Amino acid sequence: MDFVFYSEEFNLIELAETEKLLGNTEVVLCSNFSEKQLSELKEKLNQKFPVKFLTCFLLLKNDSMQLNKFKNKTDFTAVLGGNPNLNNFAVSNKKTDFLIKPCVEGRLVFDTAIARTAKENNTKIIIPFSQFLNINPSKRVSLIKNYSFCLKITKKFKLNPEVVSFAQSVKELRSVKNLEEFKAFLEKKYQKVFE
Amino acid sequence: MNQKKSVNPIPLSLRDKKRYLVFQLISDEFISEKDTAISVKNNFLRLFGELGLGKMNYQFISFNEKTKKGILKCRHTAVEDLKAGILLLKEVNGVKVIPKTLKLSGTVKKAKTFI
Repeated sequence: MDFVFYSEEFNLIELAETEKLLGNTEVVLCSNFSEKQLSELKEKLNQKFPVKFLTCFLLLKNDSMQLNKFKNKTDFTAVLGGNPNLNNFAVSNKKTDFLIKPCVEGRLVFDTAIARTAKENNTKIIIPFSQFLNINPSKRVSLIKNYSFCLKITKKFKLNPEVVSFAQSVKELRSVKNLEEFKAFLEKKYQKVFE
Repeated sequence: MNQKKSVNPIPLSLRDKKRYLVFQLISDEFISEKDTAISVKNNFLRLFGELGLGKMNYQFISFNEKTKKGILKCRHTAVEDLKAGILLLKEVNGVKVIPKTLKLSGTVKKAKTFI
């Protein structure tokens, strides 16, 4: 299952064809939808596409009201993390299915307490590959360091996080199978350094 | 005086085990083999550095401009690094591309059947 940061600039036919070419069969369209945008998207999704599209409401701030409002309107609900408050909100709320972007460059904002709560509330951790693509190479160093550590913690709590493309344009899409290998690479590097 | 023209062949047991990775660059525009070789190498250099790339035994073997499929060589222990590294390739000489790894082979002869 691949995740995409959906905006109206996306051409759904082009997106579906590229995803199929990459071997991905299910695509989750994530966005901070308004009700009007969501109904328009659902109308567009009535067409037949070569891949299965699912919708996910993406929460950008810790607002439980909005989460309750969209819980039954989309297939999934997720929180875009990146700071301790949002990460904590995402994992402690049982209505949230995914925590996307648990780490950023700079300081580490993911810890064992967040991982433990995520395990208790069955919140899945999603690592966006586009974060690695769109970052300045000098900042990518600390991003790799943070995610290596994040993967070590999630492995301990058996959270099994997934790396997804979370593309903002078609050219940022990647094969899910290849992204699994990227996850193995992040895990391996950490062991290599500290062995 | 007899001068030695070449070194003795390295015994099989001391040779590195190689792997050949077949990859594809998805793009609508034309991409040349030379530009691909430069962009892919620069991408790996930025990620692993000169030491890392040297230890990986990295080599760009070939690239088919029609099918946009190519072959990279590396040491058998560095396959994961190579697979992950190529995903970070964004563009080749200004042309945006989507990299995808296809096959892994132990011989270049077999790898060439996929491109």
